[in-house]
Amino acid sequence: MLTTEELIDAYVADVARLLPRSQREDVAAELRALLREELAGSDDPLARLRAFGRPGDVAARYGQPSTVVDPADGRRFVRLTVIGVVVIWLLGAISADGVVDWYQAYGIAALWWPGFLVVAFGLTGWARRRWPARFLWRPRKSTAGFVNRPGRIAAFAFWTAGAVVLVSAAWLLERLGAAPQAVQALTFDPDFARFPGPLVLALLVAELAHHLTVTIHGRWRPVTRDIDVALGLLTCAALIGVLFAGPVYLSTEANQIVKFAIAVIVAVSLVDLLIKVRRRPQPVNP
Amino acid sequence: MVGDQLELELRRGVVALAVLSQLGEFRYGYELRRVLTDNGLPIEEGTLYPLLRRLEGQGVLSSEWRTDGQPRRYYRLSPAGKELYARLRDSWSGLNEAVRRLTEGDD
Repeated sequence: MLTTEELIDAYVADVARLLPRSQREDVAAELRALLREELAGSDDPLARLRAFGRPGDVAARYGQPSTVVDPADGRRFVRLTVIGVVVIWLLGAISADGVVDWYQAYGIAALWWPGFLVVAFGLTGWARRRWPARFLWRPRKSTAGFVNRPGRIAAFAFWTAGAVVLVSAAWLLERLGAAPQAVQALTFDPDFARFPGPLVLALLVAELAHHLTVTIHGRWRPVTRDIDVALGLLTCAALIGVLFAGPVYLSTEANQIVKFAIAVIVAVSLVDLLIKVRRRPQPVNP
Repeated sequence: MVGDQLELELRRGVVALAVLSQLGEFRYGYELRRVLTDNGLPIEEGTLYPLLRRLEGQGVLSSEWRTDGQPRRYYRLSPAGKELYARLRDSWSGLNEAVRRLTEGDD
């Protein structure tokens, strides 16, 4: 059984250990003097000390405890953490050879993502406190449904060029004088070229046309949002079909690469669609 | 509980004002807690002592150790603390009056 003085010493030591080094000696001396007075004649000094608070809580009250992730960022942090880890796990499930391989290569390894987020949020929070004026809220057009036309035109040009390259890769390589093996590798499998290739191409063209329509309008409308989500879902469904159907190209290596890329595109697109649906402006009922 | 949390938030600012009100002259922590308790504002030790240190760190209080008898740290309002206390007291009066008007006739 410890004496009151020993209890105070133990308590003060536990508080002081959690304080900044420069404060420890001074706070400990004051706390010890105060506790002696508070506990003088107490029947149950341990209960009194417990009522004083856990040493960690008391130490936190003495200073401004530092937080790595600002409380205001808590929800966003948790959401990004969960989404990121789930996406890595799903991609791993597609690429891994068996459960053990998945667990070793992705299951545990995915935890680098929360660590990365902690560092990113910590640095952002620090910068926000250091330069508050630079982090003032600024209204954005996109929040009201307006689109960035130059950016979307550039994106349209990029995706159109990408689609052309994707469709005619073998033809382009041949014109550029590439080795026959390279041309052969990127030649579509006849079954894929018959179906589902044209379906995927048709959906791709529809997505590009829709992208262009929204760009011309200059802003999102309820109907264009609906079409966007519907086209996205159809494209994802078609791509998932491609994943489980036969080969896309004649070359096995090209098939492996393109199927992995398709899996990534589907995972990212589904997350994007989920975000779009959740952030969709709700009609205001008067 | 929601009620406890709201009451805690309500008390937090009031406690700081009450502490400042009693530090026109030097007092040490235990003595200050007794004065507040005797006047109907009980405050936990674990809250009061860190609060005194934080206020001192913010330049609102000044302190000194006195070793005549049992060593104790005494606190008093600094010049900045006196200005702050006057401002908070006026603000409290205004708030108190406004809330009194708003809640008049509730019972």
